Amino acid sequence: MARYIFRRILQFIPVLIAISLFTFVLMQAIPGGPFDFAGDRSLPPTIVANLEAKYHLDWPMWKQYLSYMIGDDILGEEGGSRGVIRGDFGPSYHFRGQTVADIIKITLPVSAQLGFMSLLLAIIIGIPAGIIAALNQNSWIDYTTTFGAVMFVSIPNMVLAPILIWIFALILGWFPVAGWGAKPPYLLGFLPTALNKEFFSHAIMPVFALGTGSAAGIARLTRASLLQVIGEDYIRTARAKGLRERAVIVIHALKNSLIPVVTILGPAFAALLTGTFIVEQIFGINGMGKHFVTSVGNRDYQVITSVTLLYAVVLVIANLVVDITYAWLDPRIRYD
Amino acid sequence: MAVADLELNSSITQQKERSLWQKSMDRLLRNKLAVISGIFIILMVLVAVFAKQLTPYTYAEQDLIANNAIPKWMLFIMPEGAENYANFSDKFPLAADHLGRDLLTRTIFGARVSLTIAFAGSLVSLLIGIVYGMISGYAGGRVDNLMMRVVDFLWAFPFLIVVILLQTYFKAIASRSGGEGMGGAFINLNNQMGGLLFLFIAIGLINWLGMARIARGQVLSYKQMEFVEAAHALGANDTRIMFKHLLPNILGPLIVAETMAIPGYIFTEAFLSFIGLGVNAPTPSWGIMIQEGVQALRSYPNQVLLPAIALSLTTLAFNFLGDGLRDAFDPRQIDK
Repeated sequence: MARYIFRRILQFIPVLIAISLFTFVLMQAIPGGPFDFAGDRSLPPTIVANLEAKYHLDWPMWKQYLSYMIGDDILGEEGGSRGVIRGDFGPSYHFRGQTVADIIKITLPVSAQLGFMSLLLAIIIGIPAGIIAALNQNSWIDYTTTFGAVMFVSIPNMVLAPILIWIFALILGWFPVAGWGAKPPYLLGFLPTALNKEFFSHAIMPVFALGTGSAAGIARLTRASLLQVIGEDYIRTARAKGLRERAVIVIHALKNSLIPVVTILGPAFAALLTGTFIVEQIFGINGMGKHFVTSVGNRDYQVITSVTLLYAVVLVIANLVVDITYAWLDPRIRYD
Repeated sequence: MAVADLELNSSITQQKERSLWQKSMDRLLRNKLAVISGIFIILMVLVAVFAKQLTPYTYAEQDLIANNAIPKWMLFIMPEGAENYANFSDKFPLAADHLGRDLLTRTIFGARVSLTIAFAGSLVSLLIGIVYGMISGYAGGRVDNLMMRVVDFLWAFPFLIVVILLQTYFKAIASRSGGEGMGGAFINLNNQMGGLLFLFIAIGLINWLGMARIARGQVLSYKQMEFVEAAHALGANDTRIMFKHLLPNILGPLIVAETMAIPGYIFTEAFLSFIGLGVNAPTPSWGIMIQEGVQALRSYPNQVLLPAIALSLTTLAFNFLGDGLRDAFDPRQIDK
């Protein structure tokens, strides 16, 4: 197992290099530069040239990329960059005076708190709902759950979020309209220090807006997968040897049926954890989601490359955890 | 003798083929939700096609005196005290937006964008996916291996970031307008279509991967069958076998998968329009309308509701139809 994990981690390296290179190159290929505008006014070309020289944007692209990835001292150049490999993601061109690491340190914990709770909600609602629907196949419970699941899959969060705000914040006044209830410093760098009323009253609507779609998707998948597993021969064997129905489901069927569910949890985890632009925007939450969008418009090369790289790292780690979970769910799967 | 056998065989498979389709269609027509959804989608297409005839105004026509105007009967969904600030006018059947444009007209024209994306996105991804997947599966061996590694590799890229990068790239190029040659013609066409052309390309370019995988898998399972061997024996060349003999057989699962992917295309377009990377103003898209509605949520909640309902109902219909198609074409259901 340890060898398998080590081999997988080695395989990540080319993927991460490719993703960062692709983002970096495509970003620079987009016409326009980070210093074209100061506010609404365009800058004189000499000033633009000076600024670009300061940030080494006049270097050839391969050199800029290497400077960003491995640092200037290895390249034998003057310049402060220590490279991504040593935790230096460079400066932000748009938010002057802030490094990319600063931006991530402020916004990632908020996105991670929101995303983690949404995923938890999705699992807690989705898996039981799917199991109940499958065990009562073709009953009214099944039809109601399936119908509800399709409905929530079909409502995008850009629709759900304003409607939640309208009903629960503006009409009923139960929750605040916008904002997030936790402030730095965070426990261990990302946990809120106080799980009080303020935290939950701010969190409940965005978590719901973000989590219900995933919950519905998980419910549909769990139902379909459990139904398929129940039709397998080994379930018939388990029944034939006289096991109680509950034992058949819990011991034999459930674990195997969770494999496709766990498969989609990996990408869902990465997507939710690194922030979602729309929900954070509508609820006025200062999360990482907005940097995936605004930094492209700002031509903030190092910000977009860094957040993409971060997303990719979370994704590959989540997928590795998923693959390891397979071996536990289905003993036929072994990694040696 | 051998020839007689072959003919007999092919007539049997043909008969079975026809009855398979018929059985699937029967199953589909028995699914009430899928039928209702199908009818709803056809109605939406008709509304989108005849948008000009159905609407009293054009989508860009402004009446600045009647900005945010609402008809009197709508007061029941407005917040308390709305009668003091609201601009009452019966000119617009379902209210006007902040620029005094008719919301009903804009929602109806918005259907054009969403439905065109639904169909054009499917067409582009289906075309690329089928050609790529069929070549890969049919060629087999080293070529197949290489082509599928490329798909795996592209699969690892974070989808939304690539869409954002591509759209920003296209938009930056399009804003330079015109020019001569192929590129110039493309850009002009895109600008005439309100930015739709590049949206098709961006969405289609990213979604063909799944289709290519399905097409390849299908080709792999069909190319060993007798009818392909028979076609070979009769001297058909590879292109003919692929498109005349294999394609009709593999199309079913691809169409099902494509229908299930359509809500995703509609969401992507709405998302891109929401963040300002979608169609060009003043072309209405439900994503833009929701984004504008969210800004006015506190005073004019009616503005977000209309596009939100339209977007949700459309994706709901495509989801129900996709589910119905999947159940109808599921080979495991055939004996039932």
